[in-house]
Amino acid sequence: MKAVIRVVNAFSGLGGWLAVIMICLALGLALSEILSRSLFNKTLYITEEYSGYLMCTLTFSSLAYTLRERGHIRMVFVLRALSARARHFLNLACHTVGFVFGIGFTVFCFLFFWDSVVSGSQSMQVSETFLAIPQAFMPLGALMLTLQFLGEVFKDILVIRGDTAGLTLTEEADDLGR
Amino acid sequence: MDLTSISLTLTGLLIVFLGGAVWIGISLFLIGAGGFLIFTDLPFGTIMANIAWNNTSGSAMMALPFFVWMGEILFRSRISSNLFSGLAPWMDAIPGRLLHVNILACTFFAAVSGSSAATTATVGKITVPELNKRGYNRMLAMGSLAGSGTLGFMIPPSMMMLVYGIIGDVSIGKLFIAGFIPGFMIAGLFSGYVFLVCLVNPRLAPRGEDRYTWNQRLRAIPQILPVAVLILVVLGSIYAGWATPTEAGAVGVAGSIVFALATRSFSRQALRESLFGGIKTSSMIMLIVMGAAYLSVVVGYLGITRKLTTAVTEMGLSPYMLIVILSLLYILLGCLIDGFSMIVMTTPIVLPMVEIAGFDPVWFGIYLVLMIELAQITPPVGFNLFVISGLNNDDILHIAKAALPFFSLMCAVVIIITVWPRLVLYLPGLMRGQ
Repeated sequence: MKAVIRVVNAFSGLGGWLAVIMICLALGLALSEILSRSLFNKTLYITEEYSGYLMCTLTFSSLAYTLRERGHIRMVFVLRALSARARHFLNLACHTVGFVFGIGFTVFCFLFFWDSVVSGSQSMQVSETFLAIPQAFMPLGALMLTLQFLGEVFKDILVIRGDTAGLTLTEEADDLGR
Repeated sequence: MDLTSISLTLTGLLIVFLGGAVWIGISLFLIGAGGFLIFTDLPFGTIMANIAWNNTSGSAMMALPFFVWMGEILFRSRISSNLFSGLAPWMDAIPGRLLHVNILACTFFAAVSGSSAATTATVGKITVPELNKRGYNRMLAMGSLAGSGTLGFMIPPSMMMLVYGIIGDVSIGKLFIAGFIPGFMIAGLFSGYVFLVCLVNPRLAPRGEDRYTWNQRLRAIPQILPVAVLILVVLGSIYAGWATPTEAGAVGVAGSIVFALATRSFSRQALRESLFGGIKTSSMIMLIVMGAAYLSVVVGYLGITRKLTTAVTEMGLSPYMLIVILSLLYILLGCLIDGFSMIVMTTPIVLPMVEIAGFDPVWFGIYLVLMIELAQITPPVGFNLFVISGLNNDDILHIAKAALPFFSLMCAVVIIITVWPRLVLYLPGLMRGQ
């Protein structure tokens, strides 16, 4: 179980780095558009379209990383009112719900992506980009999220068993951008 | 099953999931899927994937990670502490003294950060130790920080306005500009209150040993300049119609990096932390946005929104009465759930109602942000209270009590903008390029 947790954590970390690359690319693109418009009175034509794709990629790539870092919000007042043991069981239940949701989300995102592959859908913009390319990050990100939920389920089981040696247990974030 | 039973079933399930500590975004997705599965014969999975794609692939959404990243950079650089050094000499002679720095620094920081908690934490980490050291009244110091920190949502750029604009299909540029007058009004009222109570009782804000000359005050101005320039560039470009909110966010990020490097307070580690902090917050918001959009489709498809709107219209409530009821509802909700959830869960249902009642969607956005500001300082889920508690180890309820006068002043602003909506809509009406 611990090996799975380590692999899943590393995989989610990679997703985080992928999201970082996407936000940097989006920054570069937006600044290039501003410079091109201001200095040469020309537009890059693809800025709006590609900013959207990068946002989608960024969002899906970072879902699992954010879960790993306890970044997704949930109402914790019931959780905090419970005893430590009950809290671990409720966490296990929540992570299992998340895992089941993740499986469905991955399947539906994959079918959506595959539909674009089969139909060869292209954007209606000047770039005529194959939509399957940015959409490929949807099932990938959803899969990473599902695996992270599975890792969290394993983590909860180990915590309940009291076998936490070598595990990093992250606290719920309280102040995320709110 | 009739519509009332369907609505009650969905609401009950939502309460169970949220109360059971399932993540908000996932709860919304699950309730939406349940609604589709049980009450319709639509392909819920295809709709889910479509909603996820449509709500994440719009270029306007990119403004969100940019503004979050910008706030993260400023939070980690010396620009924020310079803001205190630049403002403190100017406040020294006014009753209330450094308490005004709490308010002014929050106002300035709010204009470059879209987050209330980030504003409170950034300003609080500098002012809380200073005010404690100088023997300022603890209640007034905490209250003014808690109240002013909420300006992070009202003074643009604001993450709440971005999310509301996207969910409600309202111009984000107009929302940003509309937040100015109410934001400065709140800051003015807070400063006026501090001025008055300290005038009556000067011991609340004792004069320290520092005495500032005019020369020192003038020499302090350059320390405020980076933030002032960022405000001008980011918000000025949106106001003048030169840049979209996304482009303004990009310029803000680039400007923050330049200023942070210029003040030699931006290491490689700070860059890494700001990037990961930015994507984490954006991802958290986007999961909620996707889930809420999915739920709102099923709510719309089942006709719940239409029925509710019709019911409220048939009640013959005056527009003011509707706002009174909504305000009570939002204050109650604010005690239980966070601001993002308040926006995404209520906007698809409430916005059509208030539009029928004759309120402008931009005005309603500002009203909603004010309600969320109130929620930031109401226990048990007032995030500003948590932030301040983390800074000075005070009890949450004690901080909430300290923030009560500032809560009342914000309620007064809600009344003022409801009676005079033009205060909100005047600046958006002057905008170019919209």
